[in-house]
Amino acid sequence: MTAALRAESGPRARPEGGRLLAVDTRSRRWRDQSMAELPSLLAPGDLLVVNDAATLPASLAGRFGGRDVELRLVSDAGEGRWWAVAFGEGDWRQDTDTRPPPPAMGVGAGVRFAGGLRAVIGAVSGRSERLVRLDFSARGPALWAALYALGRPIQYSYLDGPVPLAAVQTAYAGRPWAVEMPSAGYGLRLSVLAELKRRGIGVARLTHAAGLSATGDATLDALLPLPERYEIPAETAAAIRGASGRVIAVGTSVVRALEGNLRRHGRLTAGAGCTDLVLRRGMSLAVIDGLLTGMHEAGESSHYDLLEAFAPPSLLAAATAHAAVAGYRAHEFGDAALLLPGVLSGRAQARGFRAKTRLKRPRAADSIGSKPAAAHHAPTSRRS
Amino acid sequence: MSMNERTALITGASRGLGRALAEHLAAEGARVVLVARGRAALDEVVDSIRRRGGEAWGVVADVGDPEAIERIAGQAAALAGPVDLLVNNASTLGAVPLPALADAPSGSLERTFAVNLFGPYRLTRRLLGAMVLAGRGVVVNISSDAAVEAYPTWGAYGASKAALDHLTRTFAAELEGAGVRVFSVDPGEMDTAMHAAALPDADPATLAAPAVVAASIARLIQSAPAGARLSAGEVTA
Repeated sequence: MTAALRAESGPRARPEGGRLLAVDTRSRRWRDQSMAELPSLLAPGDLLVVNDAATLPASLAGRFGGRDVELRLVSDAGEGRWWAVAFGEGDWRQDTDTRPPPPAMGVGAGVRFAGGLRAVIGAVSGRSERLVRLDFSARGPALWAALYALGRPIQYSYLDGPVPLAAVQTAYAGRPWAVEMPSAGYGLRLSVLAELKRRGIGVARLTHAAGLSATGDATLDALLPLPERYEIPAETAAAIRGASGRVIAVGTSVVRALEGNLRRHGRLTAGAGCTDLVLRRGMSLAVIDGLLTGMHEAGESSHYDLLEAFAPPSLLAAATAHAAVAGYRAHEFGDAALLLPGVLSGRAQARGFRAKTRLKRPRAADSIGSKPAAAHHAPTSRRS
Repeated sequence: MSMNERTALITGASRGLGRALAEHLAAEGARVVLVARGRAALDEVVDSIRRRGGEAWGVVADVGDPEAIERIAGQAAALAGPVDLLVNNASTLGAVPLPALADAPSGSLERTFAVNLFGPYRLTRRLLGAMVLAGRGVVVNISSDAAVEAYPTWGAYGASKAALDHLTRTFAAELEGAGVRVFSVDPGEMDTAMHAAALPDADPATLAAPAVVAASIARLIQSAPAGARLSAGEVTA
């Protein structure tokens, strides 16, 4: 009988950043650690890559055709226009899947929001009539001010109360691009980031517009994740090319950005882009060696399936069962897991890993070449 | 790092030292986000910086309001990109004319600390993470000689600034090696509306022009060591 992971039901004051299940995907062992101990699990030369997108006030309460509706922003289409998913009446206590549908929104119809903001339906997606483009009455600074005045973060029905926008931010949040919090880094405290750097462990950033986790529409849910925009700074691309150790993604949005970028361009290329890469079992990863991720239940979310790109299903199931018994908490505000080959082998092993990588990796000035990832990865071509 | 690569956020930026700093940093090429409570005065400063070719945006907010911090940080990053220079300049004297500590109206000390200490603390911790990630960043806290000397009737203001100085030193100690410098500056006595409210009889001729002090602080932004407490008046060109 397998115990289920319990959800962490709200943002908690946990100065230590929560628990961390370190899973060695090479030796197939795991160990209970804490987020504060992350620096001791990594070695100089390793590189952590985080998604620094801040979480948007993406949930907008509005009025349409005499009814209350909620519009959840999906992506910025520029010039004061946003794609959004529409929901009918209801609030955060109600599961997204059981919310009533919104009234049909035709092109040209108007939505009114608090504070005088208005939008016209500029387009309706061919994929779902609930996916609409809002052409707002304001743009630029005025639109941002209005969104921050009226919007709230997207809420979750498993929480014990509504959460404010400040509670759904990572410690290093920058530009507000994410529709939902890039929660894998939720437990990464500033003191841990500073300690990583002091130890010579790299921490690099990219910005990825992490999207909706659920839309309340089976047709749309089947399309998730929708293509998402990202930006890789030149210094991050250089840090990945130059990493002498392992490259660890903090969250699957980072994996999607980096591996998607590589597949699109043939080599890791700094700058802005859009990724439609979907992670799946057995996918060979060319850039990323390991993953720091939030805790997720098997079968509960499509997110769990993404983890199979990093560890075999039997190991994931066993480690998750351990986490449930050991009282780890799941979801946005819960605990974390580090899936990394060799993570429990000690620092000597980590150095050996680096030496091997360095020997095998062709070094081109403008390319990350064809770095073989961890030992358990089959040799891969970056030009697939 | 030169000023034209920086994105600065300046609180209390619609007048006095904050305005002068925003104008100076923008003239040196920084992208500047100005925060102030009053929209009209803020828009006027933003427009005047833009007319002179600067890149500036305004965010209407009260740094003493805890709810405003996320709005300020989010709008600033959305408009200008990740902030790597924060100037905590907004301050309140509290009740004026300045009362003796024991005579201060109920709640006035709390409001003074909300604006002068808790606001800067919250804004700093909200913006610090991105600076640590980037391995570069500067936080400037505007202090006062009242943080060091015990002047009668300046108790609430002075205590808030003394606490801000101590936060400055502690942040600096915690961030050693992270590439982020946090320091405080005593700007000295300036010809500003705030000074006139506190000391209406002062002779303006004896007071420094905010633009001159802003130029000194701009030099400190490039060079001041982390954890330092400096006097703008001692900066030489």
